[in-house]
Parts: sequence; C-alpha cells; structure tokens
Amino acid sequence: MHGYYEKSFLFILSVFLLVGWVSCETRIPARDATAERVAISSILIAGASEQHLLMTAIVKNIGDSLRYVQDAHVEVNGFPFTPISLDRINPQNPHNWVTTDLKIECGQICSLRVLYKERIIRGQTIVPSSLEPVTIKNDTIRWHHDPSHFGYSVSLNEAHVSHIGEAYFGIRYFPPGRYRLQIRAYDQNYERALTTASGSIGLEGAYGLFASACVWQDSVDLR
Amino acid sequence: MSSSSVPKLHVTARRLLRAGLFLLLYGCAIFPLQGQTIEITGQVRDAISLLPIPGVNISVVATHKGTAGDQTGNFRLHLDPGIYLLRFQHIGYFPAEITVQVPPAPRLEIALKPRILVIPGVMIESTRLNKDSLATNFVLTPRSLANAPALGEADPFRAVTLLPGVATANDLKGELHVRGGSADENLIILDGMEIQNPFHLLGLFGTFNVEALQEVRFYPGLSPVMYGDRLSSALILRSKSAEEGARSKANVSLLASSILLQRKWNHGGVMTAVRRTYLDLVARALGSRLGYYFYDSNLHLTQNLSPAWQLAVVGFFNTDHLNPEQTEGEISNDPDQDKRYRWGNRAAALSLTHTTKKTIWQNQLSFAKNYVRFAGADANLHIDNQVSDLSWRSQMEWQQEGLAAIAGIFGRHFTFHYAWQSEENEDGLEDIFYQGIPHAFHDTRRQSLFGGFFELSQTINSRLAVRAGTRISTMAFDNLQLLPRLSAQIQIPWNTSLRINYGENVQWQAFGREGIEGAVGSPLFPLHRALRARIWSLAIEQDLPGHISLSAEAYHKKFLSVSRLGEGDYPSFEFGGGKARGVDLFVLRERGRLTFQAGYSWSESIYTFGQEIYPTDWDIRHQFKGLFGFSFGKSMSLHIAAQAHSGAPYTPVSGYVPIIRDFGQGWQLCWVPLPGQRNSDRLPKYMRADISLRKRWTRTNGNTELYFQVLNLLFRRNILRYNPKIRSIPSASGSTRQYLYLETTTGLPLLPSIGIAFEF
Repeated sequence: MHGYYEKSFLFILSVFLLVGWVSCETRIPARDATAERVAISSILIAGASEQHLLMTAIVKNIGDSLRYVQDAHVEVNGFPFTPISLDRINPQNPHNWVTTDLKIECGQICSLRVLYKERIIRGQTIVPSSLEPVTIKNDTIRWHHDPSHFGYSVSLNEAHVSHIGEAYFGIRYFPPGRYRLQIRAYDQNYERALTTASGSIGLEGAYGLFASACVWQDSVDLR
Repeated sequence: MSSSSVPKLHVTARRLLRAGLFLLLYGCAIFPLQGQTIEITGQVRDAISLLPIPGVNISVVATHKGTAGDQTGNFRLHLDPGIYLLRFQHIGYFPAEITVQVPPAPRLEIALKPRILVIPGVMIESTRLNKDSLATNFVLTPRSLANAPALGEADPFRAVTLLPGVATANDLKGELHVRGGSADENLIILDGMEIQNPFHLLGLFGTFNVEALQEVRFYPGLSPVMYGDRLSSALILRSKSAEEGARSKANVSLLASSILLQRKWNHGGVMTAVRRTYLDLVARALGSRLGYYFYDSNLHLTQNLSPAWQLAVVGFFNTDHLNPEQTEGEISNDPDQDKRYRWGNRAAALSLTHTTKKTIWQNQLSFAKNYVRFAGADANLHIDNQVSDLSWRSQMEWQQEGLAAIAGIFGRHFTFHYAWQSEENEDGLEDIFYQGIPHAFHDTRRQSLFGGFFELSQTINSRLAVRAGTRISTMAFDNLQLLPRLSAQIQIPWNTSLRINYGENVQWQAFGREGIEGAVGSPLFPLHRALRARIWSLAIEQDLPGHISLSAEAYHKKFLSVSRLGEGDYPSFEFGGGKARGVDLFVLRERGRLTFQAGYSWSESIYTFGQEIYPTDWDIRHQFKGLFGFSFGKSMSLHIAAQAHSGAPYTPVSGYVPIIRDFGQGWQLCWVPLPGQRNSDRLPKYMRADISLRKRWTRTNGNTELYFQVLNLLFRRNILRYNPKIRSIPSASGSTRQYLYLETTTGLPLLPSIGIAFEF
C-alpha cells in the first residue's frame, strides 16, 4: 500500500509540473481607451434647402443620453455648418448642425472636414446621379438606374416603401388618384450602413455615417 | 527356504524386469523429446480489419501454461510434445480455441472476431504500442456511443464532446473545437471518405447513425499519417460489416426511427441502415404541419474475390428538408409558391484490398459531395451550393515482428460551386444561411491536392517503441508541404508509460463564415496558401488497481498560419498566427458495476493577426466533464453526463454610435453597437447534466432495449450569446423612443425523450 501512495504522489506531482509548464497566461495588450470617441451622422440630400449633421460623443452605456458636440468646426466642400441650439433639437429632426449655404446636386462629390480638439475628421460621399427620366407604364414606375445608385426608397403620399434594390416599383394595388411620389437613390455609404454593422462608414477619424441621396419628387396621377 | 517361495520371487522378478524393461524402452523412446520443448509461434489478427491484435491472452486449456501476444500480435509458446487445446482471448473479441499437436512446431495464424462490448461506460483504448497508439486516440464502440445521453438518438459527436480537450461553441452547434482549433480544422472520415458538415437540425445533431457504425476513433492531436490536411483533429468512423449470425435491428425514438439490415454469405455480406425523422408525418396525421425532416442511409457491401482479395463498396447519403411554408401556416397549392431547402451529403467509395501474411495493400476511389440548395420559385432567395471531392488513395501496410511500415500516395480534386442571392431577410431564414456574408455571391473554384506518406514503427523492446514518418502534401504541384511525424513511447516502472509526440499538420481550405449557432453547412473555400500547425505533446499514463487508469497529456500547438475572413471582397482571407496549449487530465474506470470517465482540461487558444492579439471564440479555459455509469444487475444501466466549464469569450459592446437614417418622410435616430476589444469579456460559466436510463430484455430471437433520456436535467438556462438589440417603444408624445438592450441566446431547455430498440 505504501508503494501505491508513492506512485500516485509521483503521478500527481508530474501532472502539476505539466500544468505549471503550460499554464502561464498570455498577456494581451489593452487598447488605449483614453481618447474621446465621437460620432458623426449626416445624409446630404441633393436639392434640399438645408443640410444637416449630427455630431455627438459615443454613448457608452445603455440608457445614457446623447452628449452633443457643439464646439467644433464643420464644413462640407468648404461651406461651414453652424450648431443648432439644443432646445430646437427634436425627434423629427435630431441633428445639431445645419447649413443653408450648401447646395448639392446629383452626381457631385462632397467632402466633409471637421476640426475638433486638434483632430481632423474627414469624410467623403459621391452623391448618386439623377433618377430621370421617371416613367409610369403598365402599373409600374420605372426610373433611370445608374451605377452610382446603390439602393432606392419610394414613398407615395408619405406612405413609405421599404428599401428596394431595383429601379422599378409596382403600383398595381394602389387605388387610382393623385399621389405625391418621391423616389430617393442612395449612395454606397448608405447602402453599407443598411447591410453591415460597421461603426464607421464614409468617415476617417470618427464613427458614424456620411452619406448622400438624390431625390426625385412630383405629383402623379395613377389610373 | 521353501521351494514354493522361489517361483514367487521369480515371478516378481520377471514382473519387475518387464516393468523395468518397459520403462527403459519408453524412456529411450521419449528421451530425445524430454527437456526439448517445442516452440509454437504465430500471430493473432482482427478477423475484419486483419490488423494485428496486441496483447492477446493465450492459455493452454487444462494446464497452467500460457502466454501473451506482443504488441504486433505475435506470440511464442513452449510446450512439451502432446496434443493441446489453445484458447485465445482478448477484450472486445469473441474467444477462439484451436487444437494443436506437437511436434511438429506449427506456425499459427489466428483471426479473432470482434464483438460489441457490453461494458457500460465509454470504452477507451488502453495504452498500446502499436502504430496507432503512439498518437493519443480514443476508441468508441456503438455501445459506448449509446451510453452518452443525447437528443433522442445516440450521437457520436455528443459522445466525443465528453472527451477531454474537446469543446463546442454552444449547445446549439455541434461543431467541435479540439485543443484550441477552429471548427474547420477537424477531419471527419467515414470509411475513407471525407464528410463535410456532417450535421442535421441546423448543426444541433450529428448525421451519423450509430447503429451503422462499428467503431469511432478520435485523434485529438496528430492524425494517422494516411489521413491529413486538417490542423487539429481526426474523427475516423468505420461502418459495420455484415457479421455471421448478427441480427437486424430497429430503433424507434421520439426523434427518428431507424432500421439496420445485414446479411452475410459465404464470401461476403451487406449491411444497410436507414434513419428518418417522422415528426412531420405525425404532425400531418394530427392535422398540423411541420415542414422539416431528415434522413440518412448507410451501405457497406463486402465481397472476398479470393482468399487474398477483398472488394468493398460503401455509401453514405443524408438529406435535411425544410419547407417553411409548410411549417408556418397555409400551404399553397401553387407549386410556384412552394419553398424547399435541402442540404446534405452524398458519398460513395470503392475499395480493393489485398492481404497477405505481412502486407495489406489497399486502393480506394471515393466521391463525396456536400450541398445546400433552395429550390423555389421565389426569386428573393436562391441558393445552390456544393462542394465535391473526388479522391483516390493507394497504401501499403507491412508488418513483421516489432516492425511496421506504411506508405502510400493520394490525389484529390475539389470543386467548390457557390451561388446564392438574397434580396431581403425572409422571416429570419437568411440568418440560417450564412449570416454576415454578402447577399449575392456566385463563384466556382477548383483545387487539386496530391501527396504521399510514409511511416515506420519499431518496437525496440518491451519498454520502448518509436515511430517516424512524414506526409507530403501539395496543391497542384505548387507549394510543397513536408510534414514530419515523430513519436516515442517508454514504459517506466509502476505501470506507467510516457509518450512524446511531435508533428506538423497542414490545411488547404477554410470556412467562409463566422460561426453562429443554428446554421447549415458553412461554405468552404480553397486557400491560395497552406495553413500549418506544429504540435508537441507529452503524455503520462498509469494503470491503478481496480481497473482505473489515469492519464495526463500536455500539448502545445503553434499555428504557423491560420486564416480568418477579412474586410475585402468576399471571400477575402487574412492570414495570421497563434497558439493553443493546455493539459488534459483523464481518469477512467471501464469495468465493474460503477464505471466512469472524468476529465479536466485547461486550455488556451490565442490568435494573432498583425497587431491584434485575442483569444479565439472557443477559448474555454477550464472544462470539467464526466460520464458516470451505474449497472443495476445485468440488464439495467443509468448514465449521467455532466459538464461544467468557464464561459466562452465574447466581444463586449464598447459603445453605441448614433446614426440618423432617412425614412423618406422623416429622420430617425438609430444605434449601431460598437464592438469593444475582441473577445475581451466572457460569458457566464456553463453547466449541464444529462441522464440516460436503459433497460434490456433478452429474448431468444434477439434483445429489446428501452431507453429514457433527459437533457439539461437541471433546467439551467446557459447563456450562449449576447446580441445587442434596439427596441422601439412609442412615447406619450406620439414619437418613437429607441432604447438598447442585450438580448441573450440560451442553450437547450429540459428535453426528455424515450425510445426502444429491438433485434429481429
């Protein structure tokens, strides 16, 4: 019996030596978490009278409220944005920067430049080209498809239609009448924002989304 | 002196003289044989595989004599002249008896017929100095596979997860992670054919029917030299051959029913097994609808063309059918509206084997295909994926006393065809098929692999055996990979052995999807460069009294090259490195009323891609697992499988990015979760207990067995995944407010099942 315990002791000792041999934890370097992370979100709309932009700090915890960044210099294609008073921000228009000077046309390239605490944030979007001509024939609305179009949305009398990938839309089941028709073509950045969970699209130096859309709208009679 | 006493003395003298003369003559006759015992030699082999059986017990009936075979199945026995009855016995085989007469000195060739062990508990192969045992491997018989409680049907993958060094990402995903390796690093071979994605029920359940299997052999480290091209492990399954006198068998469980038929004839036999789930049929009979079922079937045909030549044909077919339209409500009579998803495997092989006393030469030609297909008229979702593998292997095994060699060559040609298009997520079904990869993809690629292998094993003496070999693998004669294998096993005192292994593995393909639970077969893609891992291991094994064996194995696996999906055009692979290391402790008692196998594994698995260093998704540091069996008499057994391990890593959310989206009539603020440092947090610890109760009745025309199983007996809601989600709730002002929360995916609920198996 004495020999049995001796053998077991030696066996267990060997096992512990093996465990000690391999069980040194690997040190994984931690990221620098001190830098403040900011988020920018803007969809430039061709032809719109105002362009908007949202600039906030990253929300770290669930339930935290937004912390708007107002002390920055924001410009697109050299046209500066101005901060909106916080009491004017509402859920229907949640942006905190606006400009009325910037006129955007379909097919244009727009560059964002933001100066914030000695950091430069850049962004770029290619505004989708024009949707025209738009035709209504055989219960289908069709429009011009261009490689710069990465997705569309259609609304009839503010009744929004989900994001679609094709350059046509069936209206067979809409009752006859006069409708306010709006078609929007989105750029690649916006399409990526819908299909991926990436935290930074169209931007360098910040999280968020910098995208654009080209809009066609008119009143149409459906028969 | 009287006269009458003289004749008496004379008679007595004459009798003594006659007796003495007889003894003298007899003695002279047998003297040359006295003190010169005759040496009988021979070898014992497996009657089916014809491989030598080491350590066979040989006894001379009605004497105290006997011996044991060596590690190559050879034995020597010294007997006095005479006629003897020799008995050959070995665990796992039917005993055999043979009458021999000595002299002369015969050379005996004995074949033992394997039998299914009726020993409760997983049968683990003990230390053997044959060419296979130099690499750690576990052998599981159909009986031991059935002992591991599983979902309705016995599942080889479930039994393998109870072995040390094996982890699964979660309950809902059967893919194995072996010693720090990813799910695509496991080689799964059935009768020489490589099977891809062998899972039913969206990864929940293995596709192999235990009734059709003869043996499952699991190599958690270096695989046999004839198989390769995977970095981490090999699961080698061998289907049943028809046996003399073996009965057919049927099995009915809550999940599926199966039937095994076998027929043996003079020079061959056939085994076929079919299994199908029937919940869809039951639901239909009850007036309800369930649009899902699967089936699998096995075929094994053998024919001896001559005493030396044997031909074998094997087939394996399995298919899952999913028809969401049937499940979700009104079934349409319009065939254009019918949506059917199918996925599965088609595999067949033709094998020709030539066996002599010392050599086995085998040629095998096989074809295996794994596919996923959506056949429906709805253009929004279309899938037509398949990976086919045409392969050929020729190998020669040669054995002589203490020395064994194996050499061979192989060639494989793969075709990877992928075509899928998904316009939108249809009721979440898109998540089942390749979440997180492009909505549209069309590609066909081909890959050819060639190579050879050679290995030499030498039993130097009763205490030392060594093995050296190499495997050569190349892709279209480009990028030649030379993979060494070295092993040594030393017997030291106290019934203890030490085993040292060194080797390298290579891999030419990788999954094109990040793993999630509940997904059909992941697309597999050829790589333009080889993945490679270098493996060291050191094992100690000791036999203790009471049929208890202890083992401990430390391993270090250096990933010289591993891949992951990159950011570029799909499938863009990034290449990095990494390492995995750990210790597997294992204690086993395989005989008696109380049997158990219990293990503890410590492991660490780290990937390095550029500056990014992170633990892998399957880096589970501490694992305790056990399978405990209790026998109540000879006909009833209870098995409890228990698992507890530390939580798997996950990537926490470090923040949320507010993004404004354009919804036509207005702006809406959405939140995109921002991933934190990769795998820097861990899920809560995992615990689970399953039980299985079996009762067997022996009848003259076969056995009947009733079994009852409960999975997750403790009803523990193990958290398998966190999913950051956004929920919109209407506010009092009429606007919609979004708030963020972490949704959890939990593991299996409490799942009881019952079934019956009977022979006929």
